[in-house]
Amino acid sequence: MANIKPYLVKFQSIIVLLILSMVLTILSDKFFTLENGWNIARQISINVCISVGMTLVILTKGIDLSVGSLLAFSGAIAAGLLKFGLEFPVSNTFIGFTVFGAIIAALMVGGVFGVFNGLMITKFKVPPFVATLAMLTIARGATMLWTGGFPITGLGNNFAFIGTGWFLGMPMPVWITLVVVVFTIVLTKKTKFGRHIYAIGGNESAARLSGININKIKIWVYAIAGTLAAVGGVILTSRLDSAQPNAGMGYELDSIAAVVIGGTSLSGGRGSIVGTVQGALIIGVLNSGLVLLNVSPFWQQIIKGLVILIAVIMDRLNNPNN
Amino acid sequence: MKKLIKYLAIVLFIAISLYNSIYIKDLDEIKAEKSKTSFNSKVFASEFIENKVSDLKAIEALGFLNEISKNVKSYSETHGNKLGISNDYYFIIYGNATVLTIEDEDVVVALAKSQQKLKIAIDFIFGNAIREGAKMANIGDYQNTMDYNNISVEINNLVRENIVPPFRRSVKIGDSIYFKGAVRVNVLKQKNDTLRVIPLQLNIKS
Repeated sequence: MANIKPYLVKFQSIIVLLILSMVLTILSDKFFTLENGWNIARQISINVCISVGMTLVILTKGIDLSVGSLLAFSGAIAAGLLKFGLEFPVSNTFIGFTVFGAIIAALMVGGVFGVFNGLMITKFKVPPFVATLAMLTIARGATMLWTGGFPITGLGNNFAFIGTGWFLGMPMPVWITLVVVVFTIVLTKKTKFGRHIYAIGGNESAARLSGININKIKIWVYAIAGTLAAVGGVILTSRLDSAQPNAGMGYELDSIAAVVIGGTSLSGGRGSIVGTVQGALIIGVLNSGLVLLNVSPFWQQIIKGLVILIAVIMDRLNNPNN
Repeated sequence: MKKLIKYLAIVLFIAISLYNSIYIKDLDEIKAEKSKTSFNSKVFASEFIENKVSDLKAIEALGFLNEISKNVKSYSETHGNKLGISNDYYFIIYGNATVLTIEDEDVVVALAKSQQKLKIAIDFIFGNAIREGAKMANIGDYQNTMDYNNISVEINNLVRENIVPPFRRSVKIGDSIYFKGAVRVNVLKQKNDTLRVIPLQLNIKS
């Protein structure tokens, strides 16, 4: 039995996912279908994109509460540039944006705001919680300013393809998420940058003494988190064919939940992208199952909260010294 | 040499990205194009009020009240118009009536040949009753929901500014009037005495 425990701990997310799936398959004949599988995959794609960025941040012992607002702002930027372009009356110039251009601009905005978060945390020593909480409000306000408080709709079929189209038998959001996940797995597991992220989260002082440029790594991590939030924003805006000023509210909590359920330690230095994907899958499967079983939305929230608590307690029991 | 190739590749990449990302035009040219193709809710609304109201198909008010008293749901489903999955149905009705009281927000009238009362709005003209009752616009035809919403805003503005004020200035208790307007009926909690007509035509008979 003692030999099994490490494996149970290592694969706890997959085991939970399997048990959950089996129970839901027994309880609902609509759960284990290809259609529902794609639905879940599409629904979690946005959360996975954000959560992957959040994982990198949490691995450095940080937190990013601004991802939901950055998602909304980036989505609004993409929609606004695509639909209205930029007008410069002084020089009688209009700059129009193609779908590609609007997406690049949105990703850049996400990245720049992420860099701002990183600078506040590293250069001005503002605690990550406070710095990103401030950014949460700033980005939400910027979204309201940019959109005038109204949704931007009618973005065209080419843009809609990103969120609703299929490519080689798989929904586009799932392809995008797959690319994001593979990229970040390689980044964390196969690069010096990835090892530095773990080193900073494990022991920041030791990392600094060993010559790691902590500030640079942290700024990059927040920039990546911002950019990935923007990826989520582009997918969401495209799916809805509309940039909503209040999009992404509470998404930061869903992403933290996915990271925690996936086994990443909130005290940094331990966790993985694969675990986060599993965490997001557990939340997605749980959401889908509870809807199919007609469970009240109020109960759904309670159940999700309990799942997060159980995940953290299990983490504590398995790693009492952390 | 290696560095030069690297920088050249970066510059080339940025140039190609920019080329595929943006296009530059004269602002005047774009504005001229937009004004040709964009939807003008103000023009749409005034054209409706000026040219279409008199020919607008409407239900005689007394018959309408009698019918919704019998079976509001089935009558509304057959003759009304609703937006989405709402329980509110909209109708255009007309009739002759006598003014009973003049209140701040409404004029209460008694329909001719009956004692049935109806309120005609002279203040707080809001909502989508006219747009939906007249079936003048389909939400599916508008890519921009603001355009769709603005139709109601502009029509209500015209009613508020052009239709109500002359009527309000000269109406007296006991006047015989002709009215045509839109009403909203909720099929789950309908009471005839709460019906409020948003006017499209108001004529005081001499």
